[in-house]
Amino acid sequence: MATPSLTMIPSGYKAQKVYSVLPTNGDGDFTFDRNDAGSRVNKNGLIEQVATDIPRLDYSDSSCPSLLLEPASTNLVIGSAEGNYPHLPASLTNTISPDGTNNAVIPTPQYTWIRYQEIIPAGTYLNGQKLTYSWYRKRISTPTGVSVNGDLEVRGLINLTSLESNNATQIESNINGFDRFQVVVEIINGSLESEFRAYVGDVVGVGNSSVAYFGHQFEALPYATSYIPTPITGTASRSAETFSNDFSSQPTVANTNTVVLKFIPMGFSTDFYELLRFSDGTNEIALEGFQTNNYDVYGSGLASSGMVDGALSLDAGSINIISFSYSGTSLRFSHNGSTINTTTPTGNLPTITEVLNNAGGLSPIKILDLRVYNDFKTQEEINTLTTI
Amino acid sequence: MGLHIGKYRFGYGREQAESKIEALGVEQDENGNNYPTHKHTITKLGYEVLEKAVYNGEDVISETVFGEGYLVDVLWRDLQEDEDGLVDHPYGWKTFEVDINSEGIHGFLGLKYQDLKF
Repeated sequence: MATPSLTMIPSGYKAQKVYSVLPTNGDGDFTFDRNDAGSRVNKNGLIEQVATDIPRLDYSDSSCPSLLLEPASTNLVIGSAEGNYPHLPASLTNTISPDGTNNAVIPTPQYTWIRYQEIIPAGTYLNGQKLTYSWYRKRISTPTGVSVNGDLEVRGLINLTSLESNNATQIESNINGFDRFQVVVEIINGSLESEFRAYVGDVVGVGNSSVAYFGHQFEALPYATSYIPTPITGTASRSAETFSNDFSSQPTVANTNTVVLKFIPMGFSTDFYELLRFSDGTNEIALEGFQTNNYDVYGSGLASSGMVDGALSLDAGSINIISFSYSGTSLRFSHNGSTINTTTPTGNLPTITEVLNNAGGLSPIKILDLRVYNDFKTQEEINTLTTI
Repeated sequence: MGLHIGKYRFGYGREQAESKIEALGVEQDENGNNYPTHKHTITKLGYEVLEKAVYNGEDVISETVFGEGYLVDVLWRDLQEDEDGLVDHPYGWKTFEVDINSEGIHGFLGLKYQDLKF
């Protein structure tokens, strides 16, 4: 197998820069920016904040880091470590949290209706706006009450519909002993006030203290993004991250290139928001979100419709490898070791001069490995390259 | 890289805020999705809260009371300096600035309003 002309495996970085392994002259390095801090899971398995413009190498999925790229988001929960109760539990005990400090909370409810609650003022969002509530949970002992996913029972919603079929979905595991869960809800009528409720009382059991909670986050996106800690005085935002390279001279050559991308898709906000774009400045191939767990390889200037039109099934949160190989007259695609399409392009992608995640609406992605080879490979070769 | 944080209150409500935000630069991608063409981070905080809701167990005793002012926080990035080397709000924003002595009800992760305000 030929040596890649570009290899970006997240490892070396500095402020505003992600280094590529190849080429070694710096032409393959990527520009990165984020206006403020962001949080990641570090090598020790703890959530930590990294400063403005520092790329996030995130270890939440394995011992090898991925480059975490997310859109802007605001955590609407004031005092996110503890969360908001409309009525305080009988007692609150602190314990070590996923960030390694003593700020997770073990509530002891005195009523079954003790709950976490967030209010969305009337007129804040339109009908159908999706929001996601997420939290970290650690069982100290087995809860004595109702058994529900995430140990918070989502019910009694006002002007909101839960889109979860099983109370909540687990999205992260064992961050310093805590698992993370999310619930996606949808606003029914934006002109009315909405209320999100997640009950502790009847799950933990009145008078019991069997579960620790931490890191409550409520955001106006249809998926949970990385944790945004908020103070007890207000909410907090994290800015969008952009990632790009304009390598007009290197490392691709005209008409014969193969791109291999190992990544984790993490959801998307609106149809056809890009995860990553490969472009010559005019024509492009882009990986885009289509609908839940359905993605699209879009070929602007290369095909009359998507190359793989809304039919590429990728599980959000799981590792995928895709590859496309092109000559001036042919395009081949592969996903996780299988052929997904072979087509004759109507246009041309002569030389890739840009790889970027900085245009359009931005969608969240974790990049584990990105390679470009300067040759047109057989379908068998790219299927081998995409085998996990 | 220059960062500044501004807090704004638009007395004529959301539409007024939206028009100011749009004037900073918005384009549409080929799929019809709007996206900003600038690098600033804009957080819409919504209408100001005058009175918080009051609860008694499951029941709402009184609902939240909102004012007419629509609040927006902006993390400005790389604003142009004038000939004296000073940086100010973009045109049309200064009128709506709210200068407070605390961090306020919203912040940008890892940054202090008091350190970065104009």
